[in-house]
Amino acid sequence: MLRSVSGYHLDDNIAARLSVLSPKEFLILDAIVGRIVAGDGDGPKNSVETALFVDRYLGNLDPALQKDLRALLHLVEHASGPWRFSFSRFTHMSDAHKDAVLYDWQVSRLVFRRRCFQALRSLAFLAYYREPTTWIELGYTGPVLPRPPLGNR
Amino acid sequence: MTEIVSARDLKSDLTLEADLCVVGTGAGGAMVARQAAVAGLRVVALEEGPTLRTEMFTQREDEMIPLLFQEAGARATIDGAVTILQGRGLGGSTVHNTNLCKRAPDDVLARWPDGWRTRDLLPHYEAVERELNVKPIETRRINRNNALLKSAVEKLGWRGAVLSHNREGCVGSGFCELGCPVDGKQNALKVLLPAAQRAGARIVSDCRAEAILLEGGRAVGVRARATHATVTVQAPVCLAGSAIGSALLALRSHFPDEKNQIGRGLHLHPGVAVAGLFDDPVEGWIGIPQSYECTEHLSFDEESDARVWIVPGFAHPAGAASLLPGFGAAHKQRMRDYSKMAIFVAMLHDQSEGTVEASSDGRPLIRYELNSSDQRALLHGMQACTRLMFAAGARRVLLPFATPLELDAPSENLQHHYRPLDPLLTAVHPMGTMALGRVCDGEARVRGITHLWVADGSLFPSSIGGPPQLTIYAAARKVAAQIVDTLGHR
Ligand SMILES: Cc1cc2nc3c(=O)[nH]c(=O)nc-3n(C[C@H](O)[C@H](O)[C@H](O)COP(=O)(O)OP(=O)(O)OC[C@H]3O[C@@H](n4cnc5c(N)ncnc54)[C@H](O)[C@@H]3O)c2cc1C
Ligand code: SF4
Repeated sequence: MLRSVSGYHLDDNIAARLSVLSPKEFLILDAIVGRIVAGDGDGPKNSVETALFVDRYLGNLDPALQKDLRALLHLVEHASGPWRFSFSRFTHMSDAHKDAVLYDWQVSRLVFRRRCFQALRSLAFLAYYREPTTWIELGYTGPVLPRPPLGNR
Repeated sequence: MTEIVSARDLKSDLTLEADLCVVGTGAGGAMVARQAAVAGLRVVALEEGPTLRTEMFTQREDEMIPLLFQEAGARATIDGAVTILQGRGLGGSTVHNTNLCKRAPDDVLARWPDGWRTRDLLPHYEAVERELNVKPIETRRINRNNALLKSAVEKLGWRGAVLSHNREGCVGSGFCELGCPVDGKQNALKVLLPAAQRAGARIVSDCRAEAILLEGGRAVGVRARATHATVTVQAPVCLAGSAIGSALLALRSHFPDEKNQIGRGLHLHPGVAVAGLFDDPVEGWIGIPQSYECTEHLSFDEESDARVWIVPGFAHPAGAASLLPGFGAAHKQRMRDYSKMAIFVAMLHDQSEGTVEASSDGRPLIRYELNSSDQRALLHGMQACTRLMFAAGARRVLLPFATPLELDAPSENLQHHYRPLDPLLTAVHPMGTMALGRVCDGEARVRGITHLWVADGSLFPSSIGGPPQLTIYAAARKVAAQIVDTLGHR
């Protein structure tokens, strides 16, 4: 089943797993995260899981930080088009166009855009590189010491 | 013996009476709490973050960053140009720092107000070094990332040295910046807070001081917020919430401050990370993360452009990904070289002064811009790191400008790439904001208010150009002696 909110379609199974974001916000996040951690070909295979982690992660943060990030997602979605003299929403853009928009945010002279981009970038990398499956490619051997048992934490 | 308690589950408001309320339990706060309690004062120490225990340190970035860092690691200057990492929890930033211990240079302290020069801090430095077991790092424990810096320094004939640290029982897991999983750090959490507790101090975590209560120019207590209740402590107060936390609390408490000095004079030691790619594995995540320094370009002459402290600075995968510039396929390609990458950080002995203001939602607004002299010094530092990388045998060097710059030979022309908000900087040493001689008098009392002291990094009247924890511990020890003198032994 797909959940449709004014043109935003999200699989019900995924929507049911959201903790903080609305389906629309999640789709925007997924579009951004997908490009930030994209490999040589298309997006990464697990960009949905990566974005789901960001949603869960936000659940543990201060409500003020959550609010900032949600507002930011709407801004990327609706204020990225005019910046590049096109009026399409971020989620509807081609990958190349999305990358160009993100690059604009990264090098923007507008303080706010640069800061927002950095926040999204750090969250996306945290979500992506937390996965031991990504470590193999890096040659990272992981923690030397075993993880403390859950009951002790 | 009293308990360390969390206020998280407190259901009704609580009022505590004490001889001293310490706000914050990091380097400064834990030292004051311990010293005052041992002298017999009834101490309450409030900490906004959680109680932390060794078993909680899971060596996972996604679990530790939100647990240990202010604003889940997202604290930054309002222009986003400098990420500021600070601790939040019992032990403050000492829980996840890299344990380097170095006294502030005589040249710096010589410019500090009377009473805070080298000779005045010396007995306190010596006591802290003894208690925290500070000693040089054994050369056999220098990992490859650090050994590369050492070899480059020696090859270029530059100044460098093995650093000292406060570790005991360290197994070289490399996870210092995420909390030590084997309790190998002789820090505020392990050494000072338990001693404070043994001496009778009541330590309350998950309890954020929201206002210092003033009556007729005198501090009479603290009002703090737990999840479901208000905690009021009736006592003279010592602020130790860090250079950002203390200024924020002072501003929110509307201290008399005719000249608007509170929150000014913020120094950050902003650092830029330069990566070098090598043919052989570096595996910088293994072993003690930082053990060697290059001081060739660290001058304390105010006119000099050579004002950077260079140290290796490795991070785990997510942290390293954030340090490296860019995103998408090109970034991923760079990350594939992670195991063969060395990272040197040039930390600026900054003259620029930022400010801390209070936002309406309770978070700090941090403004900080590098002045032109600091911009030159930062570029000088990047150039020095580049030379060091090539001297160490790097194939390529990557500079973290927004549009990444990759070099296959040293370049003297980095200024073409520099723009004021570029490259991205990270700061781990906030200082100033309630400085001696500016906001505080020579006894570390906030001017115009009695029974109110400051004992953390915010006291520093200038940058010190190196790791600050030893000086914060020592200064706090000195402040504690003054507090005990004023309030009397019991
Ligand atoms: C990654 C990293 C590595 C570092 N490495 C080194 C190193 O190797 N050597 C070195 O010398 N220094 C290092 N530092 C810096 C050093 O740890 C700090 O300079 C030092 O701990 C600062 O001491 P402080 O008392 O000013 O503040 P902190 O140690 O930050 O403690 C302040 C405490 O106050 C609490 N607080 C704030 N506001 C409130 C409030 N309103 N109510 C209640 N509690 C409050 C905070 O939660 C925090 O726990 C490092 C820092 C970081 C982040
Ligand atoms: S390197 Fe040593 S001090 Fe640092 S976390 Fe590992 S065991 Fe602890």
